[in-house]
Amino acid sequence: MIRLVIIVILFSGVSSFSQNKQLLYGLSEVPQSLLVNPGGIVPYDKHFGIPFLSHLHLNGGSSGVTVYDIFQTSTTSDINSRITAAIFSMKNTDFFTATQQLELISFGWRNRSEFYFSAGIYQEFDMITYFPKDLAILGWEGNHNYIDYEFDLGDLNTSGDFLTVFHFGANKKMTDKLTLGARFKVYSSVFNFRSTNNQGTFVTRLSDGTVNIYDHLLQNADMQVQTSGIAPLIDNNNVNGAGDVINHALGRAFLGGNLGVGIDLGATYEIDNNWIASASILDFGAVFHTNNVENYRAHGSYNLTGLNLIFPPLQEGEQTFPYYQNLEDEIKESVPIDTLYNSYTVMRPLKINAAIQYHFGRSFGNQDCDCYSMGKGDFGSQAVGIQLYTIFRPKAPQYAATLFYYRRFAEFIAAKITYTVDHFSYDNVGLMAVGDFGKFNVYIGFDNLLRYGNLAKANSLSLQLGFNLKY
Amino acid sequence: MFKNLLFLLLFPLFLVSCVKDTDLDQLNDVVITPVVEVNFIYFTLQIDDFQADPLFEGNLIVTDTADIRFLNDDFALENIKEAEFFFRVTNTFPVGLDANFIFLSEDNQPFYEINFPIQMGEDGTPVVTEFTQTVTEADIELLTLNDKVVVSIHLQSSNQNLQGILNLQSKTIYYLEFSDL
Repeated sequence: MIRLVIIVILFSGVSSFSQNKQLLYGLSEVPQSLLVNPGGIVPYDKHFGIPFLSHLHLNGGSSGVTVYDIFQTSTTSDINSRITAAIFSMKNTDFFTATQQLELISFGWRNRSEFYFSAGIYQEFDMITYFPKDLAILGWEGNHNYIDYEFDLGDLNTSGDFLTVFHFGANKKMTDKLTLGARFKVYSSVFNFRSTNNQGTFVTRLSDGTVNIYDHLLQNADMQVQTSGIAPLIDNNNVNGAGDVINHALGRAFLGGNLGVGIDLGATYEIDNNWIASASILDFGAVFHTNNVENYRAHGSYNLTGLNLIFPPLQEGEQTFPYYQNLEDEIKESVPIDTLYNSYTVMRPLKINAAIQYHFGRSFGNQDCDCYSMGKGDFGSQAVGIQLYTIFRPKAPQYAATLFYYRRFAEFIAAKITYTVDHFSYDNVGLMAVGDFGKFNVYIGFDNLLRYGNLAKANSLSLQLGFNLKY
Repeated sequence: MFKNLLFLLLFPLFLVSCVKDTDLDQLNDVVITPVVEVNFIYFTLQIDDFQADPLFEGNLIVTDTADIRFLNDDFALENIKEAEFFFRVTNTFPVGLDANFIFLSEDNQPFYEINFPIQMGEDGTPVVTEFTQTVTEADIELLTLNDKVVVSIHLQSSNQNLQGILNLQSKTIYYLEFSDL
């Protein structure tokens, strides 16, 4: 089990910026860019994503440690000393995340009123686990060297979502300069878990000598794990084999689970022929978990003083007090663990993108470049710009800033290279290439290219690819 | 068509991407070695608690038994590598005493024992006796066969009018080891 936890932490881990799609943002050649800015420029009239292949996004990261940090082949240190070093170098705000998105269906069309409608279904898994530093120290070293140190139970902070998103969006160029868009989303949650508002401390102190050697104090503990869609999967009476699990998950994925609603908003403003500003707000919404909910809560305070023997006078064959049982009962009474079935609401992780870019160079397209004619003609074949990204996570918002260079090499091929600074690193270089081969559109992008020489040294990695038909 | 395209796109990255100088098999070498201190038994005795010792004439004795259920469960068997018992006894009885802790298995077989003398009090002034017993790696299997402890305090006098108080406090340090994760 511990092995599994270590593997999950080290490898499922990938970034909460996993949600950051800096390569895709603003890339109007790719229809899926409407998912990161519904108010983006749409230079085509129809698109149809190849089912299950139109958008695959994998991303993972760890803000405090890399696989290489732990598993490097070294003659000067062993893995245990490296884990110890990692535990003490990381902070409780460091995090591990994993995000995966798979688009099942995607299509869009422009109507006579020049609205571009787009719709689709995608499945998403998103998880974040903050590094529970105090609990890791307690588990790794014990309390022996930490007398009087208050271990913060609030360090336990994790959440995860597995859901299907049904969406419908509309995009319209309102004026020569302004394009607006909005997308309505219905979330169908397969499962969710959340343990984000824990509090309390555990401390071992030398006692005042009146009772026993120490006071082991659990103070104002309030730990809670909320789950939905998980309890039926771990109930042996309900689940009989993988088939049942898949049926259960599929049922919940297609509107049979807990539902939620959300909205994306976006805008693009063409300041002039060269400058474009844009922004978007994504996943402003919530999922309402009302069925298959099972929550666990432990709360209370307790001082573990040990077993207090009272040496009762006993007759032959008479049993003494059940000290150990009494102690267990006392702990359960002081820190009860309740199983609750009350519904709960989870806000989707709100994301905000903003960008400004400067286009230059000779344009491609049907019209010749007319650099002195504002608002006419295609934009130049090259662009540089800056993008900002924020995602609201349980402990605090997280930020990323990206510089990018875009270049269209020919009518049918373009590329975008990004340099991103975020919690993971200061040198995340990414590259996305887009090709339009007739009506066939293909794109692929990677992050952290500087780490491809040794992926184990990367704090985060991401992959995005997809295939569409565009008309 | 799709496969060919995908191959063309991914192949260059596969050529340059790799995982180097990294050995995931080291996971087998991970050993977690926490050291946990936890209170053990405590009590306070007065002369009224003692009775005549049926085995040693001229002595008084008091006895009680407590379960320590975790001591022989799988977790303890697999992970406790060493242990250390620490006792602090404060005595005002003007006679010496002996402390005796016999650890018994589920079927009441004694597999481990701790004994130590308790110094006598001096004119009502408390005298503190401290005693530490280390359960070495060689002996730990004997300790973890048990799930209860019988505690006996022998008072080296038959005078049931003695004045005094005996207070015992104790803790255990468990040296744990988790490997083969």
